[in-house]
Amino acid sequence: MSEPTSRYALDNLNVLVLDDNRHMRGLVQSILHSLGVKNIREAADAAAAFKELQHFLADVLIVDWHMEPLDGLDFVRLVRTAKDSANPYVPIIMLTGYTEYRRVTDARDAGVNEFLAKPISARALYLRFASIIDNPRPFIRTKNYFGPDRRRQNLGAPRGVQERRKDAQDGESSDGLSQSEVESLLGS
Amino acid sequence: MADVEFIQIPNTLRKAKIGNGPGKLDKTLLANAEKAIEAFGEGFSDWIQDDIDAMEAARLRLSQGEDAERALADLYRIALDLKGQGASFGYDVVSAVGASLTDFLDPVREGKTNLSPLQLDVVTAHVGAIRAVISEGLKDDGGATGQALLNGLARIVAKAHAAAGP
Repeated sequence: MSEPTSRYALDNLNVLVLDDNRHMRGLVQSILHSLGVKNIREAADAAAAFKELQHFLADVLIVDWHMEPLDGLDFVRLVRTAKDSANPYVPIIMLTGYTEYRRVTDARDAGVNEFLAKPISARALYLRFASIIDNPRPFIRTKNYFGPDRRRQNLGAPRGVQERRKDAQDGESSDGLSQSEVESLLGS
Repeated sequence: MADVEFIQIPNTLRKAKIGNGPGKLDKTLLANAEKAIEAFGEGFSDWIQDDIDAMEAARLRLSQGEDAERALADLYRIALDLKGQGASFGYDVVSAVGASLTDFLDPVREGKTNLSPLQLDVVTAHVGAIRAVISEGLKDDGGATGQALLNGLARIVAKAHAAAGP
């Protein structure tokens, strides 16, 4: 008996894109539309995004890091822990030009689910969606942390050479950590 | 109360998958998305002019000692944006120059000191390099000219680091 074929249906998702750079917002929207996402909202700063979430039932947030006055990490902490947060459990993809070890662990400790280094490719963004859809993680509450379980999940065989090469071609393994090292740190 | 509380949450993203087992990426959608990136990036060489002008203005404020902290923050933000955008739109050298400038500015920003004349030269060289990449249309790895620009930046950065001492 053949294995049933499964596919992603991103057209069923509501996605909020938070980035202070309008070109990057436009690019992410453009990719998402092409991947089938129909319901996308955007915000240029953290306060506007938080307000938007009060009436937009987002399934996934895509959040830039370097913003003012509140940065992406401040926003993630707000979503995860503020008393008036509309959905503390919503999956969050952190999209950023930062790839240093310290930055990735900071993002993990703030409660992000996935970390996507710019420059971005359509495949890389698609893979982050696939990861959060296929690997939902329980949440953890401790004295100092609230967010997705940060421990590494058993995802089967290690990623193949071809996939790592593809990541490199996508620009995911440039300066700083490679995407697979990032994934390991995030426990995804 | 236990030190660690595990919370199983409903899988709200199950609706985004049809069928069971590992999902497959749709190659047609991916190809469409790559085309969309290409189309979106056609305007990059135009809209980046505003960023280059803003970098130049911030560099000028720095050189005049005018609200240096704000000027440094502006420069850093734009350099980080360009690092993220350049290669997304086929300008790998723009990303490399942006990465070089953010790396250079990281310790400078933490020190919150005024820039030395040599450090200002480093900033000026980066702004000039981005302007050259765009005006010469140096896409992808920029060829010999692009690599020569990057090598030149690496040399001046090394010189500034050497002058700053250990």
